[in-house]
Amino acid sequence: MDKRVFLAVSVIVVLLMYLVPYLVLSGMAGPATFLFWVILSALYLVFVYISFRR
Amino acid sequence: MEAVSTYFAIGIFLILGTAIAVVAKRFLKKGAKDFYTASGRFGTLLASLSYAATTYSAFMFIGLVGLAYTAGVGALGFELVYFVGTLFLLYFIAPKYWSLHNRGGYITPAEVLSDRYKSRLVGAVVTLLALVALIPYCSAQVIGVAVAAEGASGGGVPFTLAVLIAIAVALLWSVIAGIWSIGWTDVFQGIIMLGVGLMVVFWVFSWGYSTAGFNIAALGQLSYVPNQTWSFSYFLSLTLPWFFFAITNPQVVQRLFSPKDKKVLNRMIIWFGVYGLIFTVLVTFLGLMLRGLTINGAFPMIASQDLVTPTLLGIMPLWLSVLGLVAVLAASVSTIDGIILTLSSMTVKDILGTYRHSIAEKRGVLAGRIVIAVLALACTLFALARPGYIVQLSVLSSSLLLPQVPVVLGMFLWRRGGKVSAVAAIVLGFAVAISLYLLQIAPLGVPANVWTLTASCAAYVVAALAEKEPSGIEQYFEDRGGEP
Repeated sequence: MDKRVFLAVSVIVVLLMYLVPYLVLSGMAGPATFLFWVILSALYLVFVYISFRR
Repeated sequence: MEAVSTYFAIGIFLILGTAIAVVAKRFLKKGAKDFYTASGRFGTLLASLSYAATTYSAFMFIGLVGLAYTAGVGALGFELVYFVGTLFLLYFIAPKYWSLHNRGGYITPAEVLSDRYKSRLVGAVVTLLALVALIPYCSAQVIGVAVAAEGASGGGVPFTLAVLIAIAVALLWSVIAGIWSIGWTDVFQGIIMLGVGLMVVFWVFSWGYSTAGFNIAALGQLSYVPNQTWSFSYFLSLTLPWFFFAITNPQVVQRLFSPKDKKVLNRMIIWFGVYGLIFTVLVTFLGLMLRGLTINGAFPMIASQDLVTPTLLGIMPLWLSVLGLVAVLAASVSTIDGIILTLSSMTVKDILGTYRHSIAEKRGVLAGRIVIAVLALACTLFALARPGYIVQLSVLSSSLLLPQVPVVLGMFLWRRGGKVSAVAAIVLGFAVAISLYLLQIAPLGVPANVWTLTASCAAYVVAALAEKEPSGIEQYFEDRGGEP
């Protein structure tokens, strides 16, 4: 995979890790923030795996 | 849990681990390179579990469980930002470090920096920084075990004795065969940590939530981000040094030298990711479930975050409690021995090697073993002083290591920058970090770690622009196919 694509996706993921819980999910009770962080991290791991395979 | 059961469990763990370490010695070849880096001969299992076990420490079982319990869901985000940051950095940096080791035969991360910046002073300064920063981190691991043993046994196992046992085990497993004994005992310990972690979570769930299930919303404010603890500023302050952990902590950087080829290196990163994600979710979930049980009245209210896991160990059935304590011990020892080995290699190669080259060359392994013993003593003394909470001690260590960020990234991304840039970044960043920590202030409301990183980056860039390129830098890059 093109390293620039990897870099761009990674930066977006890192920003989402910070911004979504504090902006979009802010003030929301329940498991939404927990699930968001877990799912995004899992998807990023899959993305890293795919990037190594290409 | 009774003291007898605790001693019995630790005894079994010690015997099994030592047997593994002794068997691992047959892989060890002569010379410092094999003792510290396995000469790049680790396969996927050893590389992955060794990286995971070195990274995940008592901080997870004691610190993160306690943080989730006292502060809520934000603890998960804190640890997963580390997780994402580590995968991100490893994708770019790990192959470069591995290639550098393969071509240049480096033993320590500081040697790589010395070579790139054309000055052994850089390696010596980085080593001194690591020594100052990582002794508190090592001590946090020891404190974790001791608090767990003391709490789980109801005071039957004294804090001081538990500290001495943890250090002795780490010391023994380090000196037997260096990275080989550490690597194989890490595999053993990594399996224990994840396996027991799963068992404890299932037990707590079936004990407290088998009928109604666990609902995070029942935690009230603790299910929110932000909440009273997790302001954005606090979250940023805690996550920033953790995000760069993979390039600032020499014990994990040195692990990048061990895989036997690039395929193994890539697999190591993926398997570490799988392990890390499962482990992080398990541990945080455990802390949140325990808080839910406190709200329900089934688990006592714990004011000190470091005492949540020890209290749980005291409540669980004896067999699981014993296993839980062993898992905490495994998590701690697997981190302590890795740190001590790396610090020993850096002290011998990057300080002793600079000023007493002949001793470092001829008696490198012996000198390393002596340094391991001295470092273990320093960690013991620091731990016995019980200086603070495990989370805060761990984050302090990473904060002090943060000034390396521009030096490491600059090495890979920029041809400018020489010894003055590197030393200025580290010295100024360290001065800012330690000053703000001691004064307990955040100027303009900006977290101390942001100031530390900004100061070190600014010092690096300004000095690099003013400084002449190091002599021979073009040749250095050319020899490496245009890459550092």
